[in-house]
Amino acid sequence: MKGIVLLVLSWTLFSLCNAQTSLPEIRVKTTNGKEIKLSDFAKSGKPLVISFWATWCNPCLEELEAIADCYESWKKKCDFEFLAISIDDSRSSGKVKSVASGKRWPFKVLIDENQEIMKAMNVSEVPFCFIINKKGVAVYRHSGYIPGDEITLLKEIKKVSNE
Amino acid sequence: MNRLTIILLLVFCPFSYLQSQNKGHFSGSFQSTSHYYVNDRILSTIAPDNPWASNNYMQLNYNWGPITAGLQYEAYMPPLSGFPYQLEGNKITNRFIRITKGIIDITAGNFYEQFGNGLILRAFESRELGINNSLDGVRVILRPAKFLRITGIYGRQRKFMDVGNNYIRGIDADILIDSLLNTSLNLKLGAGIVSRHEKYTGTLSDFPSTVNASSIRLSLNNENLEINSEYVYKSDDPTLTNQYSNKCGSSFLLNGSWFKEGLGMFMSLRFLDNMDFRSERESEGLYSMVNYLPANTRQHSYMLTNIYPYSTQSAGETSFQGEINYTFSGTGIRFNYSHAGENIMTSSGRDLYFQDINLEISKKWDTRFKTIITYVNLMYDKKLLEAPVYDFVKSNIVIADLRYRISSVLSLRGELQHLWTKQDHGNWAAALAEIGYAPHWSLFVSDMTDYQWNQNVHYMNFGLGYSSNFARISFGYGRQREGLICVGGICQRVPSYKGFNLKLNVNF
Repeated sequence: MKGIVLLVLSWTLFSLCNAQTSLPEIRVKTTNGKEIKLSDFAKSGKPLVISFWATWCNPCLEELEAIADCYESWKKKCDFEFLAISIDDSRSSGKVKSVASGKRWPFKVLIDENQEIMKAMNVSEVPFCFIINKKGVAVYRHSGYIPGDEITLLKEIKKVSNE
Repeated sequence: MNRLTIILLLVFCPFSYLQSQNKGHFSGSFQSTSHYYVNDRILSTIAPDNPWASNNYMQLNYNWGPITAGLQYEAYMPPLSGFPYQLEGNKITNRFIRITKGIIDITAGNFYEQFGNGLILRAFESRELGINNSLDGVRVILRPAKFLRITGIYGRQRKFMDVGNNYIRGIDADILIDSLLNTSLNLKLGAGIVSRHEKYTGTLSDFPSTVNASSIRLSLNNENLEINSEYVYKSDDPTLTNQYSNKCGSSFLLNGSWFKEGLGMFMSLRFLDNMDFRSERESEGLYSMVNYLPANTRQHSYMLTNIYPYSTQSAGETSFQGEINYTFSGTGIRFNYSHAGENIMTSSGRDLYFQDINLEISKKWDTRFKTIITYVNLMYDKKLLEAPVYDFVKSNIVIADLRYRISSVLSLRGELQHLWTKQDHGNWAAALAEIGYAPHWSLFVSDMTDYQWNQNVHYMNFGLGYSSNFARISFGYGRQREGLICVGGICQRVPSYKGFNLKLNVNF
């Protein structure tokens, strides 16, 4: 009996490893208080990069600052959309626009105040980065930030962009 | 075959069959944190009989067009040190099905929700503290027009590994006024009411079984300005926490920010009066909270800045916070002033609970070298916030965070920290060194000591982490300081321990 159970679970886990993640039909808040479906961003036909961050998370700020520094040159190399989704709760969500403007970030910033999108995308800690391909499927994930991760990120965006 | 195996088979098989037929998308995550405790000769702490403790979470989501279904399995075997013992065990704690089609969004089962700023309702999860206030019931969100959203909820709150007996119901709406008036200024008006019913079986005739909390809010913003305000009123709610007072509760929150490229300013003012709102009147501490009252202070992340963290005083408090972010030619400045004291609307307002004045200057010297220097002046009423035997603590903290890139993938980071105080444990010193080899490896070693209090005690830790495309694993060993761990404004006291830790995160 144990053998059958193991076989079924192995088959299941194998299919999980090949699983494709679509963007949830959940609405995310823009910095001007409006709501927009996250899945709408995948309709542009461009690769979509999503980075989950928070104003109190030092590695998140370091990662986004590194990306902001190279953002213009990246955009010249490949066409993609970048979303920085803040998971700040009501303690600090009011600071999100102030921090993003103060740091001159050139990309779109959105707010997931009750971490609904974060949960729907199975993210349990920040920073966490996804690349969603043109079909709306998550093809790259990365947890944490080590200086230099942005180089791998660019390589992966290029790969997805050329698909 | 045990119950868990049957559940896993029942859940996995149909989902993976549908997945193989390309009918929808399967996704999930697994998070595991395990500790192995050892005896600590220096702090005289003894490892428990079972030195292993492990918190585990598996989340599975299945999405097929407008339908999403999911579940969360949790196993605390037993819970990590500092987590509530009531969590011990394992089971599927959360499950839900959600249908989003056109103007309707319905969830049956467990759901998370927040009304407005959370002052009357926030159902959320914080794995760091062992909190999961999800509601088990039904949520309906209607969007009959572009300018209108109405949310209705009805359910019972999760209580540790089970569900509480009392009902929470509520309705909330947002109206985008600018859509109606055709103005360029974004204007939003919102209102909500939450009601908790807990049967009263005592002898008092006027004791309320039902407690209502209602709020009204207004927010406006344009290209450079954002203002958000909320007023809350709570009916009389005699509980163990407020010593069965019949007093009604109220709160007012005003947030404002002004920003342009390179400069962002933020301020927040909040009054609280008897705003503790729980699903059970006899509960205490962090659990069974219906609303969310975070500390209106800056959330720090360096080691020594978290020795004296503020936790919200829901019985009565006035808090103010102002922050400036400014960037110019490779230099970033972040200044924050946070203040919390007596509620000036209901008392003299003279007593100071907490004050934090901090300045952070970051400088990018070249493409390889960056420094962040932080100064914090902190005042903390430890006798009010922890126990009457303690002093009022005045402290100064200086932190130097140095980052150097040896190559495009190899980096070094060092932190030097010092805290000066004449009260409590006296001065503290801390240091951290970290080496990163992108995109996979990181290694750190840190130490922290209250050298004036006990020269022999070093809270030394080291850790090694590995990240891949879908997983992150880290291993560490060290001594944890006794103290408060805080998420938002909610804090939990954790005991000191020494031992090994292993953490695994998988996202698929």
